[in-house]
Amino acid sequence: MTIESLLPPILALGLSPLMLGITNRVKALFAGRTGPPLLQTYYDLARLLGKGAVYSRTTTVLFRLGPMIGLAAIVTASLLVPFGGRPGTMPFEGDLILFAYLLGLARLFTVLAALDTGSAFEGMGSSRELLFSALAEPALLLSLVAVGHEVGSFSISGLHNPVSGISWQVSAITLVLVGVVLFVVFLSENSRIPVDDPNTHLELTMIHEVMVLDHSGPDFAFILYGASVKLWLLASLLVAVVVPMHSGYWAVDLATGLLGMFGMAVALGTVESVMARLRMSLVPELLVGATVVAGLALMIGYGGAVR
Amino acid sequence: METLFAALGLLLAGSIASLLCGRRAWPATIIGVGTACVAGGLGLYAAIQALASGQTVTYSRPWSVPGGSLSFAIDPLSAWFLLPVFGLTAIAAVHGGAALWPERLKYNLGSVWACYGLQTASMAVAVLARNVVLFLMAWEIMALASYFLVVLDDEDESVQKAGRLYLIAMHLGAAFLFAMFLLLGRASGSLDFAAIAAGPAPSQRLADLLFVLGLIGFGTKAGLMPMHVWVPEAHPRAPGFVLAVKSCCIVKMGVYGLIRLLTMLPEPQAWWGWSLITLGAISGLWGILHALTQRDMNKLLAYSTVENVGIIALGLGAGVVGMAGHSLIVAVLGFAGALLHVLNHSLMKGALFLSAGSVIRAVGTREIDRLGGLARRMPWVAVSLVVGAVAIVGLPPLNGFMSEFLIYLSAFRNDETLSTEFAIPAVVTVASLALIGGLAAIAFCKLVGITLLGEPRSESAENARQPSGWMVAPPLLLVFGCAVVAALAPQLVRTVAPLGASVAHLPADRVPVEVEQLASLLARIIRVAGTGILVFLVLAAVRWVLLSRREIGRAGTWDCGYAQPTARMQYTGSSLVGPVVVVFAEMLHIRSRVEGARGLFPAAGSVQTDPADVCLDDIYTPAFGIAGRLLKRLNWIQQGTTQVYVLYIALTLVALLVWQLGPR
Repeated sequence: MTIESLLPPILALGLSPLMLGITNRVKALFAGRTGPPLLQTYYDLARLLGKGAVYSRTTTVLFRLGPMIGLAAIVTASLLVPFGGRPGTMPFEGDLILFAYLLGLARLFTVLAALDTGSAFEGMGSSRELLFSALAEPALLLSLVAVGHEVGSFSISGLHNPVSGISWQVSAITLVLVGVVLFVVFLSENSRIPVDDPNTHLELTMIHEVMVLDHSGPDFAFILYGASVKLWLLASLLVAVVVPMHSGYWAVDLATGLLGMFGMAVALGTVESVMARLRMSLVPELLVGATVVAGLALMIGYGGAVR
Repeated sequence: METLFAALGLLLAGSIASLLCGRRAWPATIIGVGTACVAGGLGLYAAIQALASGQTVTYSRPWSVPGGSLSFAIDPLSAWFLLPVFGLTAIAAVHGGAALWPERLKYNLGSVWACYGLQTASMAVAVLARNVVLFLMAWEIMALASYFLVVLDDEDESVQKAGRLYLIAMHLGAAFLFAMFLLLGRASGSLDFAAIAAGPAPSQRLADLLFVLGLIGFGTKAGLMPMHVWVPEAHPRAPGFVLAVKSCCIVKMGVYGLIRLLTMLPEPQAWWGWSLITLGAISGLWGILHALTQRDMNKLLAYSTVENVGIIALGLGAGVVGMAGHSLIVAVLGFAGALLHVLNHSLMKGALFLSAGSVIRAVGTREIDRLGGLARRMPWVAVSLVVGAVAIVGLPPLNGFMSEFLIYLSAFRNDETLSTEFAIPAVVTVASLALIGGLAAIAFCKLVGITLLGEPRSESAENARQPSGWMVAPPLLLVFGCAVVAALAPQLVRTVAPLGASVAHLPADRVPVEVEQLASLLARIIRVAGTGILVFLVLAAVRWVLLSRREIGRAGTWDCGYAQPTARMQYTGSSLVGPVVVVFAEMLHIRSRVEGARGLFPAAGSVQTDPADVCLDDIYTPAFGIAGRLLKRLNWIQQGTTQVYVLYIALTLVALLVWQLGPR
C-alpha cells in the first residue's frame, strides 16, 4: 500500500460533504433560492462534533456502537473503490461482494440502533429501509457482475482497468443498462427521491432520517458523515463504470473523475428537483425492475459471448 | 481410529449408565454431560489429527449380518463432519445440563441423556461407516434417538403431532435411501463403500436414478425444500440444546450423505448440478421468507436452517457443475464453500439456538412479539445473540461471509472457465445469494431487534434475569469460534479445498496453485476487515475524547410530542416484516382471522395472523389425506392378532419359494 494508492479514499473522505453541498445548491437553484453555502455540511459536522450527547433511557450500548460501526464499515468500503483511473487501495478479485456486504453491515447496525430506542417511528423506518435495501442488493450485484463479465474481472478496480477495461464501442448496451441500474441503486441506497426524501419533515413519511432521530452530538456527526461518504462511493462506482476513459496522464484522469462526480451531484440535484416521490408501495416495483434490467444486461453479455 | 472407538465406547457406556440412573437427576446429568464433553474432546482430537495428516485410516472386521461388515474409515471428509458432531454436542450438552436442571422432577433425565449419547454415537458411526448395512443401521438409530428427544414434552398434543411428522419424514427419506443403496449394491455386487466406488460404474440411466433417489433421501434429512417440513414443525417445544444438535449436526448428516454419494457415483451430469442449484435457490429464498414471518423464535431459527442448507446446496451444485464441465477451480470453490458453510452454520446456528434457549428458559415464551428490552436484563445472552445474527446474515468480518464469498466466487469463476450454457446457474446463484442476504438481514433484525431491544412488551420479559453461567458460556464459546474461523479462513481453505478436489474425483496434487490463490484472497479480506476494526477503534477513541469532558444527557425516546407512549405502541416483529409480506404475498401463506369491529357501533375486535407453511398446507396435507383414504381400504389386512401375522410371514415365504423354485 503506497501513499498514492490512498488517493481514492482520501478524496472520498475529504470531498464527499462538498458533493452534498453541490447537490443542495442545484436544488436551491431549481427552486429559485440562494441555498446554503457549498461547505454547509462541513459546518454541520464541525458543530455536531462540538456538542454533547443525549441518550434515551431505553437504549443500550448497541445504540452507541451503531454510528461507530456504521461509519467504520463505510470508511473501510472506501478502500475498495477506484477513482480517476487509479485502482482502489486494497483491490482483490471479488471485492465487489465485500463492498456490498460492508454497506450491509453498516445498515444492520443502523437498524439495530434504531430498534434500540423502542420508538414506533424508528421501527417503521427500519422496516422500510430493510425491505428496500434487500431488493436493491441483487440489482447492485447483478449489474456489477454484468460489467465484470464484459471485462473478465470481478474486482471493482478491475471494472475500471485501463488495459482490459470496458468500452462504449464494444458493449454500449450493457453499459447503458448497467448505468441505469446503478443510478437507481444509487438513489435508493442513499435514501434519495424517488425512494425517500432527505428533506421530508414528517416522521411518518421518512425512511432513513427517521431511523436516526434519537442520535445527537458526535454520534449524529458520524451518521451524517457516513451517509455522505456512502453517497460519494456509490456515485464514484457509477462514474468508474460508465466513464471508462483513460488518457494515461494522471492529472487528466483525475480531472475526468472529479468532473464525473460533479456531474453526478448535479444529476442528483436535478432528479430531486424535477421528480416527486414514488408512492411507498411502488418502490419495490422500481427495485425489482432494476434487478430485471441488470439480469437483462447480463444475458445480453452472455449472448454476445455465444455469438 | 483407536481414539474414535474410545470416544464411541465412552458415549455408549455413558448412555447405558445414565439410563440406569433413571430419575436420579444428579448422577444422570453428570454422566450425560461428562461423557459428551470427554468423548467430544477425544473425537475432536482424532478428527483434527485426521484433517492435519490428510490420510485415510480404515478398520474392517467381518460381521455376521448378511451383506454387512464392520468397516469404518476416517478420511478428511468424515473428519470434517465429525467436527460439528463431536464439538457441538459437547458444548450443547453443557447448556442442556443447566437448562434441564430446573425441570428435573418433570423429565426422566436418565433417559434424556441416554438418548443424547446414543444420538451422538450414531451420528459419528454414520459418518465413519463404510458399509451400507452399518450406515443404514446408524442412520435409523440416529432418527429414533432424536425422535425421543423431540417428544420430550410428550404430554402435549402438538408435540406428539410434531414427533409423528418427524418420524414419518425420516422414514420416507430412509425408504428412498434403502432403494438407492440396494440398486447401488446390486450394480457393483457389494455393500462395502470401497467396493462400490471401485466396482463397475453403473450405466448412465442408473446413475441418474441413483442421484435422484439420493437427493430425495438425503435431501429430506438435510431439510432441503420442499422436503423440509419436519425441520420447523418438529421443533418449537424442544429445549434449545436438542434443537442446536438437530440443526447443526443431524441436518448436516444429509449433506454428508449427498457428498459421500457423489464420491461413489461416476462422473456427474451437468443437470445434477442444476437441480442442486435450483433446490438450493428455492430452499434459500423460500426458507428465509418463511423464517421472517415466524413469530416463534425457534421456528424462525429452524426455517433459517432450511435457508442455510439452501446456501450449502448452491455450493454443492456449483461443485457438481464444475465437475461436469471439467473446471477444476469451479468444482473446488463450490465444494470448499459448501463444506466451510457446514462448519460455519454449525457454529452460528448453535450459538443462536442456545442463546434463544436461554431466553425462552428465562421468559417462558417463544413468542418474539411478547419480548423486548432483554439486552439490559441478560447482557451476555444478548452478546451471543447479536454476534451470532451478524455471522449468520453473512456479514464481514465474521465467518458466514467467508463461506458465502467462496460460493459467490465459484459463480464468477464459472463465467471465466466454462461455456455459456453453464452460466445460467451462476446467474441464479449470484441473484439468489444476494436476495437471501438482504432477507436474512430482515429476519435477524426482527429476532434480535424485537426480543433484545426497546422496552419489554410483557411482564415476564420485564422480570427476566440472566441465567447461570453454565447456560451463558456455551453460546459465547460458539460465537468466539465464529470469529476464530473467520480469522483462520485462509488456513481452513487450504484444508477444505483438497477435500473438495477429492470429492470431485480430482487428484489433490493438482490444486495447490489455485488453493494458494484462494487463501491469499481470503487473507486480503481479513486484511481489509482488520483495517476496518482499526478504523472502528480510532472512531471509538475520537468519540470518547470528544464526549469525556461534556455533558451526557438522559431522556426518554423522542415520541413526536405524544404524551404517554407505552411499550405496546412499539413496532412489533410482525409489523417490522409487514411490508415484506405484502411484496412476497404470492409466495407466503398467512392465515388471518379478523373478528368484530364492524357496524356503526363496533364492539371490541381482534386480529390474529398465523404464518403457515405453504408446502405442508397446500401439498403434503392434501396428498397424505388422499393416500390415507385410499389405504384405508386395505385396513382389513391389519387384524391385530399375532397368529394372523405369522400366517402372513408363512404365506410370503411360500410365495417366495414358489417364485424361486417354480418354472422359469
